[in-house]
Amino acid sequence: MAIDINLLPQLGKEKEKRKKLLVILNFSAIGLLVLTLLILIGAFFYKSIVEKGYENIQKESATQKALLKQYESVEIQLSEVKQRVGKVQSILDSRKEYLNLLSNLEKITPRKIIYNSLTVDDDDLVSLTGNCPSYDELFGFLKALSGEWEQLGLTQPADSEVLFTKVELTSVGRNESTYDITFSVNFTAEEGAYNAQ
Amino acid sequence: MPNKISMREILPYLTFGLILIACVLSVIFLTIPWITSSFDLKRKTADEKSVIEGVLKPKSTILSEQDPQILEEDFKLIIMALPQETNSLALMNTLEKFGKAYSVDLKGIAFTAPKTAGTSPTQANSKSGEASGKTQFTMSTEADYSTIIAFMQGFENLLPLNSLSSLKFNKAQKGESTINFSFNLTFYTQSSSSTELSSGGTVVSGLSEDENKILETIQQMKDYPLVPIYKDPGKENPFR
Repeated sequence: MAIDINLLPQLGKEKEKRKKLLVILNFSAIGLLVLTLLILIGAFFYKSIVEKGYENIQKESATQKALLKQYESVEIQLSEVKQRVGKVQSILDSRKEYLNLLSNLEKITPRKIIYNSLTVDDDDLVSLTGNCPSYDELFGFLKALSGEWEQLGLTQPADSEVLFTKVELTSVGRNESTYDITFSVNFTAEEGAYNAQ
Repeated sequence: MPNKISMREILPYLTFGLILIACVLSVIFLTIPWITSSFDLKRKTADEKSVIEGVLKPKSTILSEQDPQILEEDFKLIIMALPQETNSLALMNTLEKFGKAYSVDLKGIAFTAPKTAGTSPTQANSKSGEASGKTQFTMSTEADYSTIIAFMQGFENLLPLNSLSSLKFNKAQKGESTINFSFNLTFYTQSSSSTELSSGGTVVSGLSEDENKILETIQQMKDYPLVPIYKDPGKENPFR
């Protein structure tokens, strides 16, 4: 049996195979190059667009800031006015309406009760001294101060606020020359006492 | 005999390898930094845009809508209500004029040195950098009840803004209708805090309805000129 030792066809096949591989390699290289270039060009353009956008927004910001610079004095005055208005409001809100307190006291004071002194301190503690012809008036006045209208045979208005609390009679006596009742009473003026009733 | 690989055979592979390396390197050292910086810039652009749209544009619109003349008047008015600093002598002058206007003779005006910040009720609202202060006067007067009531009403409508406290009414010995009235009077000050304004950051708004109402309230209050009288200067002998 004869052995075919001619390797030329085999070598030719291998050469052909290598040639094909080289073609594939070349195309792959070109493809890879093109793809990379595309990515690079894309990234570059994207970067340029973003940079342009940033540049534009910075220009716009600078324009707006320059515009605002023109209104700087207006802004200073406006913010100063706003701040002070806020402060004024807090002062006005915290200010006690003593005239309302006096008016509310006047309303519940019987005509025969006469004040000798009245003190209102910063803690809303009111000290009152006065005189009246009889204990009757004093008793009625104290009940009215405490808001115990039922005990005076009166009905308390539904929307009325508690004006005075902790009503305490601290001294009572009779003036020997005039026979008037002299008294001193302490009480606390609640928030409602400073409101117009 | 070993197979000898020629340079001609290896060259395509080498080229391919080099291209591959070049591609990878360009992606790593060019594309990725470009994209990263682009995203960074995009975020900055968005931030800047939101500042422009949310702060700068509304701010310039609001500021351009303000009437400088009205604002100037409001500014003068609010400074009159809440001065920047205490001028005790000017306040005494105001009190004297105010008393005369109500035919009330103010006696024993005692003055307490101004306190900065501290326990003022207005302190609660103050922001950092602001210095609020108050000056307290203690005084007394003698008048009939209706005059005192009118006098107290006058204080409510007096500028600079003030508040009464520690009221004491005592029936005077000399007459039935005369009452001795002593009280504390506090005047408020507020130093200017808006010397530094950024042209960006802060959002401003025009005066609200409530703020305008307060300005209207102040406008109805009365002020007494704080300018002292100065006339006929030039004395030859100051001891005579």
